[in-house]
Amino acid sequence: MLDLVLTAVREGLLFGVMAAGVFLTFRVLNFADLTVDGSFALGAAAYAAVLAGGGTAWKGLVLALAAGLAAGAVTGLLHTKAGITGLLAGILTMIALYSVNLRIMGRPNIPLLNTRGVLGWFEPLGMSAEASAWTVTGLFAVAVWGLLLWLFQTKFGYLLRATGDNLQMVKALGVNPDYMEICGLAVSNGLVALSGALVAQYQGFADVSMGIGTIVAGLASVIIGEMLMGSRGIGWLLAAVFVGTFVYRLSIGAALALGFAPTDLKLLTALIVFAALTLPAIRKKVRLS
Amino acid sequence: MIEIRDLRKTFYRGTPDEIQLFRGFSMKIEKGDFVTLVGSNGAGKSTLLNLIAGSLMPDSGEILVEGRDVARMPEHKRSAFISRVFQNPSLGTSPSLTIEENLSLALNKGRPFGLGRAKDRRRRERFRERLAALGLGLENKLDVKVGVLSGGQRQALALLMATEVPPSLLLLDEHTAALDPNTAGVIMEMTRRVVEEHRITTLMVTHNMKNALDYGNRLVMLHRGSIVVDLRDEQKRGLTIAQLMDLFSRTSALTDQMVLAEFTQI
Repeated sequence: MLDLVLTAVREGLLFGVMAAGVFLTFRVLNFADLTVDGSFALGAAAYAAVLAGGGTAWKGLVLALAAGLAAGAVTGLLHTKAGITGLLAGILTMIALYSVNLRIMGRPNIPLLNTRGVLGWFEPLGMSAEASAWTVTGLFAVAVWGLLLWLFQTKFGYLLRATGDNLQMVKALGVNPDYMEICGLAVSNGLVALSGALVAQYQGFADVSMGIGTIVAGLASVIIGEMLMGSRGIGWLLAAVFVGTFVYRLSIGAALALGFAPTDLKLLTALIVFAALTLPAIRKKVRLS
Repeated sequence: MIEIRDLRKTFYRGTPDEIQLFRGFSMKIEKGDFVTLVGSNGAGKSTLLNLIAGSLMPDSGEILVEGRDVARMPEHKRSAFISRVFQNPSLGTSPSLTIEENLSLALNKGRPFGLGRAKDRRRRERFRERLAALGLGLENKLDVKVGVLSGGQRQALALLMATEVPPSLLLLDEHTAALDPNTAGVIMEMTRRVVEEHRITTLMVTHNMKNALDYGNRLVMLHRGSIVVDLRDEQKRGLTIAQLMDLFSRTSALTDQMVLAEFTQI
């Protein structure tokens, strides 16, 4: 039982970085961005390819982040400059990334079991592998939370939030809303790719298909977090994303422990998101009648 | 000064529905003028505002704002010196941001939105004073999300935001039409105060004939893309609602020249 919870905490922090990216597009920009399925695996692929080539984990993470930023920018350009609807723009980038990820890795799967990678950063300081992995995971989650909290306090951050609300107002402030959308999508997918790299190291391999369903898991995390924690300012909302991810991972872990096959999990995830999306409306109806 | 020269705009060109709305439209607005713009549906009032603001591009012609031709400048670039308040109160504000957050965005209008801290304690006091002057009790709601405000409160905020950095030209697009009469009156008075305080050159579209007469120093009536009535100062002050309504109803029946001829006899 404790094991189940501890695993969920750790995965909540690792996948929470991805969910924070989804929060940025889905909640702040009001954009359902399916690029995420591709950019999550993209981050893993870039990171694994660097390590497989003998590069450092540091270099792998920077490249994963940069690749994610670029992928998000591509979706943004497709949406704003080519006039493709948001949903389709994301799908196009996602599908294209599948081939790109295979090119980057050169094969469908790269094992990372022989390397300590990013999670082993503190081992040279005398920490155990387990302790180092926990520390690195925690640091990344806190850093991403802090970074986004800071970003949302800046003028740019205010305008980013206004972009999801009211494009006309962004124009009225003298800024091209296309630019804001592209920036938001880039940052979001940068975070998703970073999370993909961390998860690849955590699970010990990068796989070309590991991104499938990421967007739905991310949405589930964001929505569960909101339902459980409510809204008390932007810092609270960002923390709720991580809590939501933890609860989501916990329910997945519990389902596995109950004897569900790993292949059933996508169906379960879809059901969780369905429930999370419809519960507020149902609750309202019940209260009204 | 605003000068529009030989503006042309055709809709649905080359189809049976083609409408040549502006066929060489010209107009001058002196610095500090407050022009009220009236006209029946399809007269071109909103199109004119859209062309000036940049949400529509003209087929040809010039729009000079203080000597600079902006006719082909993208909308967001014109916003640095042209402000606009829409009929729909939601278009001027961001509902998920607080009043203070909205106002601090407006204060930075036309400048880069970088990674500097957006909030500023000293500015908070200034916002509080500006809001208190409205008399709507908004000064105690700086941390309230704009989404929960009423339409009138939002429109007051939108007007404040549009003039926080005084623009070269303020466009008011039937900005009180969606409000109840009482609130509309409050917003109109606030409009007068703000415009006078900063001597902002203003162009206001309205369907309310009383407002068109009561506010501003110049009244322009459009009909099918042309100016058919243009009254300044004493001429405008002497006009009654009955006379204006009479002119208004005749424009739809008469050609432009006839209306002008008719008018000179009043």
